[in-house]
Amino acid sequence: MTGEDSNPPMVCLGFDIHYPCYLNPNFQPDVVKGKRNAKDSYFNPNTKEDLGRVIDRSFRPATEILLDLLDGGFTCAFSISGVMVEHLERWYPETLELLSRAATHRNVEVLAETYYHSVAGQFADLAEFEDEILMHRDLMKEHFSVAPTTFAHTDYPITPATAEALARAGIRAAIIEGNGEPALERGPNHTYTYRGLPVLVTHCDLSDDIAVRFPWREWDRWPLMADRYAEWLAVSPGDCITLFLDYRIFGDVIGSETGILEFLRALPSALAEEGIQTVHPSDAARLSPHGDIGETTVPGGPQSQQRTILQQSALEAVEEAGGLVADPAVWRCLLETDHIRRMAMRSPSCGKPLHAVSHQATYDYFASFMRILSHAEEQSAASARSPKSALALRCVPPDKAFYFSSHDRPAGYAAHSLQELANMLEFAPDDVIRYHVEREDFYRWIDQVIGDTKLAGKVRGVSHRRKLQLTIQKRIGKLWKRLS
Amino acid sequence: METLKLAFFCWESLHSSFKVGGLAPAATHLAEHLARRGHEVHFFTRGEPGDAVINNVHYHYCLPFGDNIIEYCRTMSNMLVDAFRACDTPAFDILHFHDWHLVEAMHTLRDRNTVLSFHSTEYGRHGGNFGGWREFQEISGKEWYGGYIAKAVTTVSNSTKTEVMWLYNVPEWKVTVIPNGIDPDAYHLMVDPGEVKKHYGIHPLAPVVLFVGRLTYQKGPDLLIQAIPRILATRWDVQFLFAGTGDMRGYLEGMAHGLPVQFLGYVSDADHIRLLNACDLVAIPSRNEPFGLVLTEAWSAERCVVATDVGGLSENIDNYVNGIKVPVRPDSIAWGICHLIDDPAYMQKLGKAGRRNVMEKFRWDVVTERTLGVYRNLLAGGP
Repeated sequence: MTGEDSNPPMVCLGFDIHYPCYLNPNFQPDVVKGKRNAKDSYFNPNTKEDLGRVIDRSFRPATEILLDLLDGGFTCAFSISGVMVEHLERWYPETLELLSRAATHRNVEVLAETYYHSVAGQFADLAEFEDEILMHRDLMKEHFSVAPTTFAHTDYPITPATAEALARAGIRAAIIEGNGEPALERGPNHTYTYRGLPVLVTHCDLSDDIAVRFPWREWDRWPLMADRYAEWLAVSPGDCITLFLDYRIFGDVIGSETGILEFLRALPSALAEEGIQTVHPSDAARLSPHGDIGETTVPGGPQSQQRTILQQSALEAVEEAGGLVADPAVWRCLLETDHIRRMAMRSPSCGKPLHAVSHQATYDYFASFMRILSHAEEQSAASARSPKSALALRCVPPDKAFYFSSHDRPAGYAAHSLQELANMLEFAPDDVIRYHVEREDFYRWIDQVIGDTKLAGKVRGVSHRRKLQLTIQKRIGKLWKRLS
Repeated sequence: METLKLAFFCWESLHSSFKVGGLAPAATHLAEHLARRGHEVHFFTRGEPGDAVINNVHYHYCLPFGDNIIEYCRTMSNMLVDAFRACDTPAFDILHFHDWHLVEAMHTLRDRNTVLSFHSTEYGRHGGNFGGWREFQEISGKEWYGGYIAKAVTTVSNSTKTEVMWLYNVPEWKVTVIPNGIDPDAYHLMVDPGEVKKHYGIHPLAPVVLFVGRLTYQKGPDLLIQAIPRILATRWDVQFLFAGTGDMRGYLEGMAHGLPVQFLGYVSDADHIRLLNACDLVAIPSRNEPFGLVLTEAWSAERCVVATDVGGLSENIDNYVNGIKVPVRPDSIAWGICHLIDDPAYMQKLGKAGRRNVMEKFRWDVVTERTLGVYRNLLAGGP
């Protein structure tokens, strides 16, 4: 398996240290009516306690183990999100102290990421993405006195645009996910370049051996021991294996009773036994590149097709919301990648905890996400330059959305805002449009749900697809102008 | 190897106005690939009279007539035998017949080196059922007789081979399995799936399941439609496209009322290829499938398949490696589709594995070489 060179590959191990802002799934606009700070009810009210539990189960014991190992010459990388640091600073300063002892250790490389662990890299406008990288860099400088140069780009596939933005932000290498589009079908254990940016590709199978299969008793390799795992790494072909794991795997997602912490403790010596060296990502990125993978990407190609309709609606809505939600803290918490991830039934794991839920669960999550986003936009409208315009541009939760349908069957999609309605008019079948025009649905929805009586009057009786679309699009442009 | 003079007998070809099903491309491409290797190939088929040379294959057309299919094939056989005799100097080395339609011509020419290819059997075309009516028995009789007098028989899969041996007592030594070939690059196209989906009024991110084939009992479109409510129960945004037409269409449209299904009717080759490359999954719910050209087409476009565990599909799909095989039941088909549809990375992996399989086993080069092997054996004195 090793091919001609019998040298074992190097290993580059990274940990994603983050605790998301979970939504409050029971949020209902009626409940908070009249309350002054409704935004407290958007997010999980028990964040402090829940995070405390995760620290007790995972962050503290794992970091203590790592500190011992680091002194023994083991090398790894930490990707610590800005929200994580904020939370720790506010509630658990002693854990931050512990973490910074590890992060400032000479054998640890601190990685760059987006401050809010956000989906901003998937937006058409990458200003927020770049802002968050710089915010995160400042925070890392402040707490750990380093300016990270390797970016953890593991939550969604890299695109030419994000690669450029990273280069602008002074990033010199990136870790990308092994099952994302540009990396698919290639030996992951090499350094590649993507539009000139050196990239390391995570090895999904080997990551998931730990992150997903470790506690699974039906697995034919159970129980996985560190020495066995090191053997697998040793025979894996290539120069450098990149593993990027969610830190909560160690003790929280996979409980310590499974022996995961002992596994972590035994791993460095097992690796040494096999002659495997652990390296920093920035060192691995300096290996001679094995090829360029930037050319194979088709713009608008399969990578963007991996989303579900719900994820797409949510992403579009949350990007628009940047100009509509008054409180940036609320908006940025809604950018959290975990929210979007939960809107699919199965998301690629690749070092992250297994995510496989029912369709109902994804829909429920989407519904609460949209309820909160819509409520935040409605609340902010009052203080906007033109409250009416802000209200007309807001998104609505699924129970108020416009569901496209023909006389005998649903078309399978729904518009949650004026913009989405205009987008969907582009491809809605003729019989669907005819059906809604006959029933005056467009007029009634815009009038009664969106509340833009002027536009409603204009679309009334319009049956031509292009004309409908143009009328709405023109109005949207006008509304945005009034807000700026 | 010396060049051979070959005669193809097939009632449809790509270069005539008569096109019925998958037989035409299979026979035409094989003829063209043999011609490309320097053999002299004459293709006897239906069409507006007037001979033609297309891609180095000599076509000889006739316009048969008859009150029923049996009668029709008899006049066709007689006309094509006349056409054959007209160019039989120097004598043809091999006479290759495709399916039963021209068995009567084969009877007239039974002393020559004849090869009969079974692309399917009458039993299989009825979804693995016997029919008591006249045509069924006449056609089965012809298939039996063809297998009896042919010097060599080829079938498109092992299961058709078994079927032919079982139904018509063809001895095993006579039968060689030669799969249908395909030109994988013709079916692989760089398209933006979202754009194609939009064209059909589907959300660009909605997962699309494609069915391609005649809407007949054999191909099992009704099984897929019965599976749809079960699929929607676990994931409601899946859309279904049925490309092709057939005698069950009206019935199926009634069944599909209110479901996210579109019947596209007959689609052009270009649209067919675009659809293949844009869909997320190809369903092949056949009750009987001698080979399953849809399978190799889907694989060529790197699509993954959920297929019923029958015939050629059963032989060629490696379960969970390049597709998923399920029993011939709506709930099993639903299970297979649900198992894949929300895991795009897995679907891509299966599709790519399928493409590799096509490159290895089903390219025309490979298939032509195996056909020539049968001819050589026959010329050397028997299979």
